[in-house]
Amino acid sequence: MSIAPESHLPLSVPVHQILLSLADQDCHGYAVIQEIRERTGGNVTLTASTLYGALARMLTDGMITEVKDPTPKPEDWDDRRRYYRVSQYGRSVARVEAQRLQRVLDQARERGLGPDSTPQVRKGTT
Amino acid sequence: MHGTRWTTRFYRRLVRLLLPSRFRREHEDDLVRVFGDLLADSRAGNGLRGRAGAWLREMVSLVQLSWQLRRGGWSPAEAGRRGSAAASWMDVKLGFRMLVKHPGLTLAAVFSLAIGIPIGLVPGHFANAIQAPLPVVEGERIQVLRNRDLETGGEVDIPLRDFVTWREDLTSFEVLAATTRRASYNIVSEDGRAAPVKGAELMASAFTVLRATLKFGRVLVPGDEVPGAPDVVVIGHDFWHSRLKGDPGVIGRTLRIGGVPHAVVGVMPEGFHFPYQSGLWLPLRVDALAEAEDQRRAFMVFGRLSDGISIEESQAELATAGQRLTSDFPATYAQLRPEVVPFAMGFFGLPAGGFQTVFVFRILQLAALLVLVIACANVGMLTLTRTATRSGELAVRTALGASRMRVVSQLFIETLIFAVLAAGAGLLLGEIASRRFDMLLEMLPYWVDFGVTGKTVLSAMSLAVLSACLVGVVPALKVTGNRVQQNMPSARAGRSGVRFGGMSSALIVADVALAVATVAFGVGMSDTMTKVDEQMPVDANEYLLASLGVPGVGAMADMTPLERTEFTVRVGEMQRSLLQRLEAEPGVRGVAVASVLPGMDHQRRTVEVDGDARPSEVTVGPFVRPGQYPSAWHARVDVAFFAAMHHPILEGRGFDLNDLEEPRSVVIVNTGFVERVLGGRNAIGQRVRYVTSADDEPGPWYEIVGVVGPLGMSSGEPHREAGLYHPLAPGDVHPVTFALHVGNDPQSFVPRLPALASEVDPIAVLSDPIPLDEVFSFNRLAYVWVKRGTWTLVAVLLALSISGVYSLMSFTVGERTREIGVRAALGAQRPRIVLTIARRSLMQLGIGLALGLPMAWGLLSAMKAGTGRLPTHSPLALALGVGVGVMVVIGLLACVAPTRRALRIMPTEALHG
Repeated sequence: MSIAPESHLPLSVPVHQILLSLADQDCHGYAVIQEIRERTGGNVTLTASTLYGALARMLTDGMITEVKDPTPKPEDWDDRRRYYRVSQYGRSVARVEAQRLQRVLDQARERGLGPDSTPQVRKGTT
Repeated sequence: MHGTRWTTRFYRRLVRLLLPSRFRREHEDDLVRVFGDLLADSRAGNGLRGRAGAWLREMVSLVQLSWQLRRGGWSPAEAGRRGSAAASWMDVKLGFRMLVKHPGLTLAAVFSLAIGIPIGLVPGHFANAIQAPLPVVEGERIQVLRNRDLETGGEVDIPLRDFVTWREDLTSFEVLAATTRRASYNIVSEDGRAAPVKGAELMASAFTVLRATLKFGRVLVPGDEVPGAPDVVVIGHDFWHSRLKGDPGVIGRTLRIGGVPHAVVGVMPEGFHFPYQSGLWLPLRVDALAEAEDQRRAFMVFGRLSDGISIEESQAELATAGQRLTSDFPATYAQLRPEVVPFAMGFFGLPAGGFQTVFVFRILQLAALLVLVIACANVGMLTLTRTATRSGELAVRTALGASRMRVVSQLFIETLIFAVLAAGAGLLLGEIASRRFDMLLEMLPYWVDFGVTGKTVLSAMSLAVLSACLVGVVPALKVTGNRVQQNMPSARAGRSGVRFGGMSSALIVADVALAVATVAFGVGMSDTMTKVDEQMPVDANEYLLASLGVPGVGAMADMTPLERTEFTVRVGEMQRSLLQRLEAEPGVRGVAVASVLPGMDHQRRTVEVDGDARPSEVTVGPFVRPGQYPSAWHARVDVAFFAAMHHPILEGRGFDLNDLEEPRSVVIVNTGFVERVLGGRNAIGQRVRYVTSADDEPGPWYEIVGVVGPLGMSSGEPHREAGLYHPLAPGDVHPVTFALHVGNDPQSFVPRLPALASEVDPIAVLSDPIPLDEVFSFNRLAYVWVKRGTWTLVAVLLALSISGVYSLMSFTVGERTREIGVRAALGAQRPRIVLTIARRSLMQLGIGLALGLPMAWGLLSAMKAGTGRLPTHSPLALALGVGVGVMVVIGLLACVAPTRRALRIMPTEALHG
């Protein structure tokens, strides 16, 4: 893959969530949507068009691949659906995105804006 | 489930419409499947609001994906930056603000779409109402089994042999049953009161198929179907409540039905009227007749599909059973194909695919959508004008970093808001209108409801999205084109900066042409329907109409000769006896008997006049055209018919008893026949005959012995139609229709009729007696509605055309402000400048008129083909003249204000630009 993973940053919410969703299992489209909805407590709900728009581009960019006829077939395998698997390149992209977010988080903490920071009143303000 | 299937189908169509084929090849099936899954999720988990939200989100998202894919170059990396393109509440708020800011446009747009969207919906909505599943548990699993004739395509009555075979062999149905379609019974209750009640003969298994619950008592059981079993009846809630005063001890009471006492064994709950508008159910003793293998009765076989069995699987099993019957009885079954169809299709005799497979219905749908597209084109024009005036604002937004997608998305949301408002208003109007169809609903099966359903709402919202795409996205793309940045200086100068070029002229021309064609259409329709206001040629309010027949007997044409002879004697006796009794009744001034009465639908046939040249073509149509036979309506009437209808014989003589001797070779024609078919010649003594095709042997000749005035043989043209009357003897037709002349209050005689019918023959069945003017008023009502609807449509289209022309002309002249100022600065005379402006506008109007007049002529010619005449010249010329005048005045008025404004600009200011 000639394109550096960093060139995709920042990832859109759908792409990042899809990469996370496929990190430890192969899924079909509907399962991806369900997994993301459950994992994010309903905060991220993808529409069918958003999902397939993102999947199409991720396939083109090599972040994911389609899984055809795996052996052994999982019990709940549905032949009518297409299953996707995250590629090594996709994992790299997800990692560099996580590093980017980590840096953002560190910088936020340094300035007292981290999720665990105590709210402080800036000098000169009332 | 059904709704999800429908929306998924709609979504797939949108996907095919919006997304590029390369994307669809890879992802279409998965995309649509996931959409269906998500929609099913939202159905399971959320309320209506949640479902509507999910649906709307999917639609907006699909439009966005389409935009991204067609634009190309989209990548996940970019997506983050484009995240703001998603529709947001801010867009919705902005949209509402724009509605308030431009109230005129909002009103015009909502009004026209509120008309256009419901019109676009009407065909589909009516089809859905008619084709709805039965309102019982899992009603969609109830299917009708029928035989179709391969040659004619028509439905053939079920032989009993088929029913018995199917019941024994088919495993794809839990249980099969049979019912008569509709009938009316004379009921005489214990207090001696008689009245007709609609009902059906039904097999006991039908209650299992329907999973019907009782109010109390018991349903029919197989034992009731055995010959010799006690006669029993199950009654409906309405009958029990109104006629039997809600008697809790009704079980065991006796009702005389067709003269035979029947014990009441059960009462069905409110709202159960299977299969039509039934109020009582008698056991169908079909097995007793099964030994006579070829005997056919006009009943309907239906059943409930077994769990897990699809229609296709049951169809396959039925086909196998059909093949077996074909090999055993090739003479009977070679031409027949059994098929399984949803209940409504079976009941109405529709094709298995429903209305959607009927060509005429598709044409209707297309016409309805065309009206919507015209409404959208006009609203789009208004939106384009408004959007153009905002091009400066859009240029500034673009300069500040808003992407084109962001701007188009906002403009789309703005138009989507008023499209949704319009769809809501349209649905409300539709709901109100549907309540006005009471008379129509009484004539339809009980499950038909024209009220607004969830599916209608979804269809309306889909059309709203489609409309918003047409009236919002297209203008938005035009205004936010590549030159949007160039509009900055114009924005600074307070002008739109958008040049419509040829498009504005094309739109003006199209709108003027549409207006002219609309005026012609309106006048043509109005003239065609002047008959609505004409009096029917009979004092219909003095007549009572009813028909007399024997239940369970089909058309006489289906009987064997022997059966027909026996039946004719019996029915003839029945009719003679009833006539004698009716004529003996005080207050009855006359009885007219006919195969079909004035104001009802007659049949039309092609006729040939002896001595006229034989044309080569045979086409049923009202008017004689070169190469075609004329046609005429026909009816069979008894000898006293014209006297009872107070309709004098104008020439020749009326029928007498000698005319009933075979062969009956005389006819009476009406004045329309003399005028249209005979070309005004003397009719008496002329001979006519029916022809079916140029090659077939024509029928016997009939001699014209009399001429009468028009008598309403066609509700469309009661005064002008060509018609023939044949003599009718008692027993000739079954059931027979009669009109009683009873004076000014025909309703007062209604209670007496059923009792008289019962006295004549215990099995005689009398239809609901209704005053004849109700038949007329129904036709009249239909015409009034069509006329009002036509005028409303004409008014809407005209208003849209005029407002579109005005706004666009005013806008385009306004865009020439600087040019006018410069001309004035260079010394051009004011009248010359005004003339230059007016010349261009007049040219656009002129081209529009030049295109509109041939369109108007084409429309009128099409109407002539349908009705046979052109509108009277003077009102047409007047209306076209007024229409043209109005368009010219509106066009010039549109130029006045901007021209005056431009002329007031100081020359230095204009030159400064």
